[in-house]
Amino acid sequence: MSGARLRSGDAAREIGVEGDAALIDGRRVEFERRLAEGRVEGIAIRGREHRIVAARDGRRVFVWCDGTAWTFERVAATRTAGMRDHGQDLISPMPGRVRRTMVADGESVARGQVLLVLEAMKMEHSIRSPADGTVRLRVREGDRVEAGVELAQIE
Amino acid sequence: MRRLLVANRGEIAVRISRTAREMGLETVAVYAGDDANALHARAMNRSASLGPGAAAETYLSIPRILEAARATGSDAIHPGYGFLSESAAFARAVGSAGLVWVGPPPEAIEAMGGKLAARARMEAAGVPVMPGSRPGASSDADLVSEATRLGFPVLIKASAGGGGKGMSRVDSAADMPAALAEGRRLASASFGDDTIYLERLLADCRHVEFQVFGDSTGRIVHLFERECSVQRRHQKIVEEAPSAALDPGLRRAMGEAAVRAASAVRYVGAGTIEFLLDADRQFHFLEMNTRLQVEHAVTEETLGCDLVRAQLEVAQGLPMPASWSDGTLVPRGHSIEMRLYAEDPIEFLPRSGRLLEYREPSGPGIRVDSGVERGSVVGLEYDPMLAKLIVWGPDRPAAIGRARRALAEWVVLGVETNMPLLRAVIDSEAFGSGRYSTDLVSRLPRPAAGEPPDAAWIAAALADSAPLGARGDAAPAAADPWTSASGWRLG
Repeated sequence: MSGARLRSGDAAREIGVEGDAALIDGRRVEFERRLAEGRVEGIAIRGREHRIVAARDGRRVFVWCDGTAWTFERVAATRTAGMRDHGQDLISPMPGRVRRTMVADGESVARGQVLLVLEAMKMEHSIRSPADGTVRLRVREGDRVEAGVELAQIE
Repeated sequence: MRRLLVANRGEIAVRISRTAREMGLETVAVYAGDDANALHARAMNRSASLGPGAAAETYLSIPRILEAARATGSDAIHPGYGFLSESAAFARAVGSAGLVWVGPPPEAIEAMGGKLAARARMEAAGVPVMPGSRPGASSDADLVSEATRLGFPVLIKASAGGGGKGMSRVDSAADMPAALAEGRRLASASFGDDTIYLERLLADCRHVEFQVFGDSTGRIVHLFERECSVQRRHQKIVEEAPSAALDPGLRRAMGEAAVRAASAVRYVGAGTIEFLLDADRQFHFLEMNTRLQVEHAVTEETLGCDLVRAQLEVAQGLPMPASWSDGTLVPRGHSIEMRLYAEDPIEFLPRSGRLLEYREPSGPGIRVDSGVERGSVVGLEYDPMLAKLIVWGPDRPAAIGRARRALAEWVVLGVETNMPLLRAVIDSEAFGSGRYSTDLVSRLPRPAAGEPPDAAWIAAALADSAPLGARGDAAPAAADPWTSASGWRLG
């Protein structure tokens, strides 16, 4: 059983999938997969067919379902024991360019400290550390980044 | 004409190339440095780089485009819409370089390019013009008194502008000085000319335009109307033909006025006369677009014609198709175009990113003119329109049903688009009834995001826990279905 907390807009759900059953906030939903070239392109629930196209980019998941596109984001993952704790990731909130990095890779940083400055939509946005720890930069000055890309990690 | 260079990008470059190739022409794409992998750059027989830089140094650079034409041995240039399509200087430079210009004479572009002068010219030609400030009014004092004469609200427009860009609404005399200063500043910054004028702003208007066409024999005809009232930020997003607002008498009167307008500037090629139709069914000339329009496809679908083919023929001195001028042309059925923009559906701000999935609708009566494909990178540098969906049906209700069905088949993932807005428009009672005006979009309820259905949550959980796909990036290919019958299972 795997579980993850996913968010789409204002809605968030704890969702786990085991075989052909899902637990959505504790509610059990049985489903059947429809595969196309090995990819899940349809899900049937209680005899109703839903057309699905899904794609993933960084920690964002995009799902097209019956004509509507939804964006999901993993909020936190509850993993089974033995998996590495991923620390805290910093995800770019919008596409843009890394204007300046304010810290060096491996530096100790404090919660709230500005790590880098992102330029997007002709404005500058300071990206601050969410916690005390050691910073691992995933981008360099001048890099172009899309929304949802990991900028840094705090260990 | 043997080799045609298309001085544009995106869907219109691909669309023009398609017709040119059907006619046996070789086509040449041009691309800015960051567009080398764009769909249009790979859609043609040859391609030429315009070098690095922003649009101003590439798609808008006359010397670079002429150099690309020379280097590729092109003998004709089609400008598409936007970019240099309404530049008389470009039209002249193309002619001076010994190349065929697929567009109207530069004199016609100039005559219609200055909106203030064009209004005077149209009035002289007997075309009803939207009430506005007199041509000499340029000082603040003059414009304030003109605004008072016209009655508030008024619109401030840039004389060198057009296409709904750089317009602002003023509701009272007290707001005028600041609005005029801002209007001049915007006009100067956007169009290099700070001349502004005023137009009366009418409520409950419809935007109805007529396609016109002229050839070198001097014949000028109209090819019926397009209804373009579904707009956001003064930009069209859904167009249809015919317009539900016209009866045969009004259609004839507006068509004749459109032909008079085009004749006044000895028009050759494809052009569009834009009118506002007010609540009293009076029509007023707004401006002429001296180029192919984005929404030309709804005319093509209802008339069964190819406007780009006619443009290319007329540019070579051939006459327009006989049926266009002998009175036998009758529109058939109904066509609707929906523009897909990379923008959020509420504030209409441009969005960027990469199209992780892109699948077009198909089936009876469906046409998609697209400038993107799966994997396309959508930047903020260019116009955010990605593609157009054009449907045709035997009548308006059938076309609306087809539009709804086709929108529901269109898969666009990775970049936020205005798809929810397009669906809300097509589903709205106002659009369904055909009785709507330019405020349709602002009257729609805000598209509620709603909550994903169970199937979407499950698909998201499966994709989230799946190993990354073979493309190494985004698409979650399932594990080999033969060894893992349950698909994306994470232990």
